[in-house]
Amino acid sequence: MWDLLGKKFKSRFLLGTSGYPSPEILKKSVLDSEVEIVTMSLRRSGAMSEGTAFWEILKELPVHFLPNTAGCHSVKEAVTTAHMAREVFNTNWIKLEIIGDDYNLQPDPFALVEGTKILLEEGFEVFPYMTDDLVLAEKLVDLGVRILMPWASPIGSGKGLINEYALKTLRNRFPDLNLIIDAGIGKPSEAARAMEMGYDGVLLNTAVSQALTPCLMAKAFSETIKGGRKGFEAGLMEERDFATPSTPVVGTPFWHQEKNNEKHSSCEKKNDLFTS
Amino acid sequence: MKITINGKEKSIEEKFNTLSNILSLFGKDGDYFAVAINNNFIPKHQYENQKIKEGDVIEIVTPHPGG
Repeated sequence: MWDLLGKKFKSRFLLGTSGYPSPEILKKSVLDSEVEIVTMSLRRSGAMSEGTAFWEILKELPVHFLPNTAGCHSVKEAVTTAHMAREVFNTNWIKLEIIGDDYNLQPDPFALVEGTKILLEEGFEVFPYMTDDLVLAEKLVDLGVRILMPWASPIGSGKGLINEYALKTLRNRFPDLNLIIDAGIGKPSEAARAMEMGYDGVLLNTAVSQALTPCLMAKAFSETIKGGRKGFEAGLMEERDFATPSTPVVGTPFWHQEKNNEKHSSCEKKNDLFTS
Repeated sequence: MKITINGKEKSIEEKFNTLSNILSLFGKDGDYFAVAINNNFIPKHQYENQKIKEGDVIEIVTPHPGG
């Protein structure tokens, strides 16, 4: 079981709810993958025709909601959105997203620190969506966050883990903190890789919602995330630059005979040279 | 007076000058919604007493899909 902020979860897979072909497919994706935490946003009432239908289905599912501040570009917007989310979803969890660049949707690290400080003081559990910058992570941890959510790569890019070195550095530097990869994962194998590196969870959306068969892809991610975690817990072998036979050499049939024959044959050639 | 609700300008009579009245007039989607006025969150328990004035910008939000 995964202990996240005092709650126990069987699944380490967190799923976004945006961009699915229909509310029914989203529901099936959530149920088939057995995710227990889903992310939601707040938007203007009536802004999207499907919004109400999605919520009517989602609110009945056995999941914990992680509201986000997606689309916010300033600390003030994000803090106000967090306040509204706390009331609507009845949770003090907030995935704090403050976008700093519209091209790659890179989070603004300076605004993130400022917003995190305000929300922590107000009793929120902040899930900061961040780049993989070590110094930023240290600032956030110093403020008191209990979770870090570094990106693997830009939102919706599907580029996977573009800087494994930085992600490993974060893992090594904060061994006891919950680290959740958020954004950029495109394939189940990439999620497994993150889990093998010791990450505590993976949050993704587009890779599932835009798959040809979202329900099947959700299940694929669920299984690989489990597998990656088990691999990490089991302890991965060290990578080597040389080959080592996995089958024992001792007792290999014919091996000595062939070797002796080669030696014998080469001795004969040498002897031939001497005699000629 | 003129106010803005979810990006659209609306004209309302002065007598409907509380947030409760505004929500009754313009409706909302079920019980799951939250309100901000001029980018400040207004908790539900303040709706009755929250006065609305000329030029106020009101945002009414509901749960939507998100990643």
